[in-house]
Amino acid sequence: MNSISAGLDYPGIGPEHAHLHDIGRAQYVPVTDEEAVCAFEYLAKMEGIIPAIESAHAVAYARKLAPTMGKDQTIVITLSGRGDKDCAAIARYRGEDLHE
Amino acid sequence: MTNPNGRFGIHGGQYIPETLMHAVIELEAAYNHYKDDPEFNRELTALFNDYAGRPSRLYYAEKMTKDLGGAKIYLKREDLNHTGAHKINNVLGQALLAKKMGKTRLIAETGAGQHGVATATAAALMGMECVVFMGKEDTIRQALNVYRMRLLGAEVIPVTSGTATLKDAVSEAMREWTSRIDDTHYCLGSVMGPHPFPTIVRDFQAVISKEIKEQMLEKEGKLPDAVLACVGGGSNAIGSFYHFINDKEVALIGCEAAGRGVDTFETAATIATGRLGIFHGMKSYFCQDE
Amino acid sequence: MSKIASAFEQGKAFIAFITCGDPDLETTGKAVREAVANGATLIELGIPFSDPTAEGPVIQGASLRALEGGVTTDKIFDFVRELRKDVTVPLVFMTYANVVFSYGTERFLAACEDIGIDGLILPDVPYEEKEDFLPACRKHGVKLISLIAPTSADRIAMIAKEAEGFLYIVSSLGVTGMRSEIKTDLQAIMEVVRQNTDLPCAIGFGISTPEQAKKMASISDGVIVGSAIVKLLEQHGKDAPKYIGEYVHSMTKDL
Repeated sequence: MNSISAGLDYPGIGPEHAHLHDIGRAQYVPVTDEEAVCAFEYLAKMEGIIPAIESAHAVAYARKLAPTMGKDQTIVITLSGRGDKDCAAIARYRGEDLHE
Repeated sequence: MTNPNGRFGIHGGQYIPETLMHAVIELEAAYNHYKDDPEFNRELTALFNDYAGRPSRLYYAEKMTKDLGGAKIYLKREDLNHTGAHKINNVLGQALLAKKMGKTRLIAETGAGQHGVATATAAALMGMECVVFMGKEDTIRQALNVYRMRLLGAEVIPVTSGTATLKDAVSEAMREWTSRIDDTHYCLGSVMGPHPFPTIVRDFQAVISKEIKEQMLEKEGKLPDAVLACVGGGSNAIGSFYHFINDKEVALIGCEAAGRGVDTFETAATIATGRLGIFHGMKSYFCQDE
Repeated sequence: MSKIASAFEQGKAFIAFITCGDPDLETTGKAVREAVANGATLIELGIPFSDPTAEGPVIQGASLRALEGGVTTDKIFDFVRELRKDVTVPLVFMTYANVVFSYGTERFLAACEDIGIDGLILPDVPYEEKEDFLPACRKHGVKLISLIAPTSADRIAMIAKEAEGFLYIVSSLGVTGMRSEIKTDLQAIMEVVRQNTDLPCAIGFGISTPEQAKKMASISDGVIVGSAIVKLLEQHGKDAPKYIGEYVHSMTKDL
């Protein structure tokens, strides 16, 4: 296990998700560190909201999904947490020597 | 969605030492009693609203919508909750339940520290003792959160066993619970572990989708076409999905952390790369070695 | 009568736990033979698992050393096949549900039958989940050992009635490891067990001294000792077998 977000770095998934996947009721998509970091920066600049890096994974997928949908359709993204805690780590990911 | 043995299809169950069976049976009985108890629900709603700041906002991200040029995008602002994340929903519920059960001590695992901070917060609020297990690696990377937990009165125990990360913190919290059950509740942070935890945590997080539904009907007059949430263990995702599971027209999409990519070893994308296994009390999909 | 049951016929049983491959399988083989030569009536062979949630630091350490040494389930099967050429006491595997499940439960139990394993202990499989494993165990003549804990209370009768092989009575709350005293009212637990089954009962968790063993054996049919033996492997590595022999002798001579 290795993800930029410690909050998602658990080797298992809850049993109800496993079941929703099995029966096809929910879809599970992979999002890379790079995509999540880009979404982290994107939401900050676009909406003035710094999301948790975990939540940025959902924002990243929304950036791919929204353009494929009609203007009469709607997406809800849960921003599970705020991103203050992640600023130093993302800065380091981008090559800045920043420590809290 | 849960059958009586705590199964979700073939997943779930109670794969735990016999010593802990009494504790999870006691927890399930207490939960079944209090979940429909008007007084418990009145107290929990008051904590959600007055302490955590619920209901959380559903914000129309107009600039982002225009920029992407497709579907209208709404953001469910769990980040505006007290302690800065959805974690507080589950923790307030479990701490209140533990208190009703006569427990005086909360133990918890934490990865980056968010669930640990939330648990320490609830313990401070309710006058309970709190011990948080955190991988040694994580205590170094997240020193600020270690300070926050201690500031809130919790004891933080660095875990050095195994890989010294989140999964080892869970193992250590389970070991601690095995040795001290009478006065201690294990406040698990996600929809994982043995039954009844996946159900209890889901129910406390389901407030997210309950609110989304009401807010979307108010703002758009219809249900959303898709609900997106990130998934690790999956508590904010199941909370966001739950009240839409029977609304088949709503697409439910969980976003997993692929790290450097699903075709590398450095991934946490469990559904994409995991295999069925039994671990930490449950049968589910896990990223595992041979 | 099962091979396990007949092992309990010869007086109080002494069950020794050893993690396979700690530090290597050759040492495990020597340790097993030393234990048997000095009075062990049954051997519990641990198959190491990366995250053993029921174990204390000593056995966690053994699992880690064994895994770092490169031991695998298949290597352990080969090792037991070899061991069975001269070791005749009952052998039971102790491991975690995922080790069996990931290997393939049917395939794992078929191998157990083939190499002469008599029983299986899965500390993370309580009564409620045993159906995942019991059919394959029965098919291959491997006894699935049930555990009873200090917290079992009104579950004791239910567990004891359906138990097979022997009953593993967990002496104390918490994980495996040596304890200076055992506070649980085991006499009361044993009474309920006796009302519900004729199977032999062995007490484990926390037993390390001859005095403790004698006391525990006086109210049951035998004792299980793990951490105290594994500690010798931790201290002496490849030289541990002779110390294990001496230790087992000290534990069994007045049992």
